Amino acid sequence: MNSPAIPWASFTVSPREKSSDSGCGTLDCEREPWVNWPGMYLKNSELLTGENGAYLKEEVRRFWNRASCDTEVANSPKFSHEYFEEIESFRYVDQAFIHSFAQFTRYRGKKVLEVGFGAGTDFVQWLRAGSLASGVDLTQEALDNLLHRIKVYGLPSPEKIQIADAEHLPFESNSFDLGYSFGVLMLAPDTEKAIKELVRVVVPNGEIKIMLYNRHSVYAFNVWVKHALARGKPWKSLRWALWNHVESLGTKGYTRTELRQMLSRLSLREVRIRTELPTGEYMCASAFPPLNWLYRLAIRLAGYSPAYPATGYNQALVEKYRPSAEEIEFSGNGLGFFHCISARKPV
Amino acid sequence: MADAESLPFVSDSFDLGYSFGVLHHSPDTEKAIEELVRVIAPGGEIKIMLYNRHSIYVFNVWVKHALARGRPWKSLRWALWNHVESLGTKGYTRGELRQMLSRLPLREVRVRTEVPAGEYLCASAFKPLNWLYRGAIRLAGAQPACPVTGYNRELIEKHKPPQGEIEFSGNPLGFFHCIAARKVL
Repeated sequence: MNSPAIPWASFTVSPREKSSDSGCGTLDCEREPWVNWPGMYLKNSELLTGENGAYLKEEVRRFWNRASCDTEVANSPKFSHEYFEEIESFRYVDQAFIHSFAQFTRYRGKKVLEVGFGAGTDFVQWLRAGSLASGVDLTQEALDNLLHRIKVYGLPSPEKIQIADAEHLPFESNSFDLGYSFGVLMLAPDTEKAIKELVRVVVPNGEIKIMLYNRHSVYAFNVWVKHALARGKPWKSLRWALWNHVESLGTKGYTRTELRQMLSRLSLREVRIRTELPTGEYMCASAFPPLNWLYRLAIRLAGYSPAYPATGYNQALVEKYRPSAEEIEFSGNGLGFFHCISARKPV
Repeated sequence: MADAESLPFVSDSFDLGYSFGVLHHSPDTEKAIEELVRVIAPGGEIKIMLYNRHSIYVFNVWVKHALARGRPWKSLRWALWNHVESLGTKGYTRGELRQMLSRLPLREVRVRTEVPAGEYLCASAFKPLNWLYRGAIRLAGAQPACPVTGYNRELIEKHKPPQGEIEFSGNPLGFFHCIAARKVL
């Protein structure tokens, strides 16, 4: 029996009939009792692999097939120009840091692969920037969104877009300059495998940029308050809250220490992790408004540490603080929900 | 080559006018902004960055060039004017921006004040002051900007700036006021 890559995700479920789709638009975990399976913390399970991994993946696909990420914010008719404008306007106010993280325009003429393009908001930036962009997503819904979006804006054709599984990318090794995946891989049953796959398809000295959720964040804590503490289950963990109550079933979040462990196994270079705080998280942080001041205070006190440029006005300071290519650099707000990770594949 | 205060373009000819960290160097900043707005088509956008006088960075320049040289009566204006980049550099407080921008035919004015990494890193001319600066930056926090639409519409309705009001976000002690606005139709 394989030991699972992520021990807290270890509970045994027997593949069974999918519960009937409630059609309510969100996965109602309370009505699906197996989600709260008491064996969740048993060690020797196969949830992430084999039949059970496939089952979980099917749940993820089912969830995101209902609506791609951020499409719920749009009020306009689906696939209209205004619909896509609303999604884009929301995303880049809420997560303005995506532009400084992805730096789309610097990949003009470069081969880029985006894993999990969702509604395609970031993907169209690659096309606008003139990248040779390919994309995969697990869902037909995402593919539909992206195809309409490209047509509505009259953008150049992508290299290749298709439905595929992040854990088994249908590309040869060493074929992209950049592997990009924003807020996707922690939804895959085997996140580490998905990251390895992304690294595999990138050329030596090529880059990966991925965003993974932060478990030790105000957002995850708030989900825990709402779904564990407030329902009289304070013994439930942050892991449990993320797994069951954030987006699709089986969502994971990583602490900085866990990232350090996981990424050091991949022998990447120049690993730079900037933890960011989307606006919405700050605004709607609390399930209970009186808690807001506490969350905001915590966010303030956590502060915002800067990343170090390779060169600068004060070279002595840069030399002193900048981590080497072998070290991992952490910056940003430690309590943010988004770990924006960039790294380079070794030559 | 041209002068920002008299742009060699006919009015209403661009969709976006962009100027990052430039117009505060111009002797007549307000005129330069007016010029930028003039050449933009109605409904078009301007995005400009102007320095923030009430920022940690300027305070530090003042500490270095005024306080440390025994001239504590010199102002933040003086420090910026004489000791930040070219002679005559200016910086604006949020109140001053509100006054200046309200005189122009603009709507949807959004001002996000940012702290560059370098400012944070090398903030202090005197190392012991670093902890004070960093503490101030932390406590000032970073206020979020409000999206037009979002998951929690009720909250957005509550937070979004009233019609015609300027929205300020970001860290109020940052040095960079990033201003986006739309020219009225």
